[in-house]
Parts: sequence; structure tokens; C-alpha cells
Amino acid sequence: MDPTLFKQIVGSLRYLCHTRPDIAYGVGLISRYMVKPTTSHLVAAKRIMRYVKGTSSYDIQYSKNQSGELIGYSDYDWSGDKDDKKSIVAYVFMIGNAAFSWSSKKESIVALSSCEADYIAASMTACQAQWINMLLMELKLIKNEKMELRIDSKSAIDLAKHLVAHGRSKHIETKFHFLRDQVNNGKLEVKYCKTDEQIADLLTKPLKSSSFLYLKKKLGMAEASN
Amino acid sequence: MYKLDKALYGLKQALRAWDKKINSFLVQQGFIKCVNEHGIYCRDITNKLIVCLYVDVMIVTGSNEAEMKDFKMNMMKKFEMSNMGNLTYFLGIEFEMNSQGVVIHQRKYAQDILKRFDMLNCKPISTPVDTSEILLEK
Repeated sequence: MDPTLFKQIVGSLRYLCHTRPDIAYGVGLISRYMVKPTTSHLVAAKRIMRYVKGTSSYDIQYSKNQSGELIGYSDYDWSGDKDDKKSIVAYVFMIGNAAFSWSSKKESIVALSSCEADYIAASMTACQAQWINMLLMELKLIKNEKMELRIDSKSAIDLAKHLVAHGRSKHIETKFHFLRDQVNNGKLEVKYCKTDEQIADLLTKPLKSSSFLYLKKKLGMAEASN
Repeated sequence: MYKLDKALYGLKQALRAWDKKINSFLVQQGFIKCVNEHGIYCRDITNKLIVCLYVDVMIVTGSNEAEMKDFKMNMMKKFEMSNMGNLTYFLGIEFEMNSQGVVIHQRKYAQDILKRFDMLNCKPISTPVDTSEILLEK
């Protein structure tokens, strides 16, 4: 196994993530093994290449006729990294039916519960939402609007809305309470969304073919018609 | 030893000198540099005109075609420019304008990396990650 080859593949695929949210999770996964890659990691990297080969006709269409409503989705996979048990967090921002900003990464700390993992994920998403909002407001493309953020953990929504410190949440680092602040300021509105409608799910864990294809379509990715 | 009057291409000072120059030109044209994203300039007097600056490449968009043309003329008077027209290719990302809006993809780049790693003839698969196998460090 040639570690250099592995690293080159990872680097090349990483650049492809700019227009391909569907491989963002996979590329993030193999990127964790840059230091000591083994054959199984190379197989995983080649699998992504095989997927790219089969789906190179896919693209994202941004339509001028659809509504310009911005909606953020954030999701997590609790202790998704089996080595250090850290969670994988992801967000996707949609304009109408097309994804325009996304991220899939590992949380910086170990979350003690799935609620906490989701809270941290939503807080990261809130940072990006705030930046998008400020930029669009500066360009005068939107007025001071409340952005909608959809997450699939009811307990994390409760934690974001109410100023309470339970025994199980009092250890959460201050920086992650940025989410609660944004919600209380009226800048963000967190809403519950069912797990199977959670678009960001595709960027947090490996999915079976049927749900993968369903969510990929939801991201606004479609095969070119010509 | 000679003292340079102007920044030279390839010197480490060249980038800063270029940015200063383009910045002062855009400001003089009535643009305001975006606080939240320094590569974006916006002018919003009668019509909206947005310029995305990436080193010496510019993407211009706006709400009025005549004003965009006018800005292009001003740019051409001041700078030597090439390859102007609709946005089709930028940093490996391809753009296609159609009746509905704009499509983005990296088809060419994807082909290039498949070729580079000798995988043009590999067997395609429908999902990027295997659900049955968990990857570990060892």
C-alpha cells in the first residue's frame, strides 16, 4: 500500500466536495486516516472514486423561479468515529430546492449524549447561519430575517429554547450556548424535522442505497438532462 | 543595486500592491468592500452590482445589464483584460446557464482525477460508503 497514493486520492476528492455534498461524508471519513493509511482505507477511497465514476453526470441546479427561502439543516452521528468516539456533525443550507453551503466534520469534543451532540451540531450550524445572514444583509439581498434551522432531536430544541441547566447538560462548554443566544435573540428559529426528512443525515453517516438516493435528490442533486 | 519604482510580478509584495490597486479602483467606482467577505464588493446606488474578486479574476453580477456593460467598459479602460463573457469555468468548477437558472458541477475535474488514478474503467457503484464495514485506524 502506497501512503502517497492514498493521500493524493483524498486530496483530489476533497476538492470535488465543492460541488458534491453527496461525497462530503465519505471524503471526511477517509481523511481521518491520512497519517497511517492501510489497505482497507485505500479500498474505501477507491470506492468513492467508483461512486464518482458512476455519478459524474450529477449536478446542482439553482433555479431563479423557486422561492428564495433559506433553510438550514443540521444533524449528527453520535460517537460516529469508532476510534475516539467523537460525534460527526454536518449542516446543509438550502436555497429553495438546492444546497448551497454544507459541511461534514468531526466534533472537537466527545459528547456525552445524543442530545448534546445535536446541540453542538446546531451551534456550529448557527455560526454559519449567522455569517450567511450577515453577508446577505450586507449585500441587501435579504432584510433582517429569522432563519429556520431544522434539527431532529426534540431534547436539543428544548435545550436551545429554555434557559435551564440540567445535571446532564451543565457541563456543556459555554461556546456552544451560542445557539441558545441566537434563538433568544430571534435570529434563528429551531424547528423539529423527522429523521427521514433530515437532509444533513446524508453528511453524517453511511446510508443504504434507498435512503441515500432519496436524500441526495432532496439536496437538489440530479442527473443532467442532456 | 537598483531601487524598484513599482512592485514586480512574482515578488512577495506584488500581491499586496495588486490588491491595493484594484481596491482603490473599485472604491473610486463607488463600490463598498464587504465586511463579512473581503473578496466581495457591492455597489447599490440605482442598480445592484456585485463583484467577486479572486486575486486577478473577477465575477460580476448585477440587476441591470447596461450597468454591468458600463462597468466592464470602465474596467477595460483601466486594465488589460481577457476572456470576458458568461461565467463557464472557475477554479475547476463549471457553470452552465440555462432557461431555469444556473447549474454547477465539476465533471471535467472528476474525469481528470479518475484518469490520474487510472480508474476510468472501474466498476461504478451507487453509494460512496460501505454501510457494512466500519473503518478503524488499524
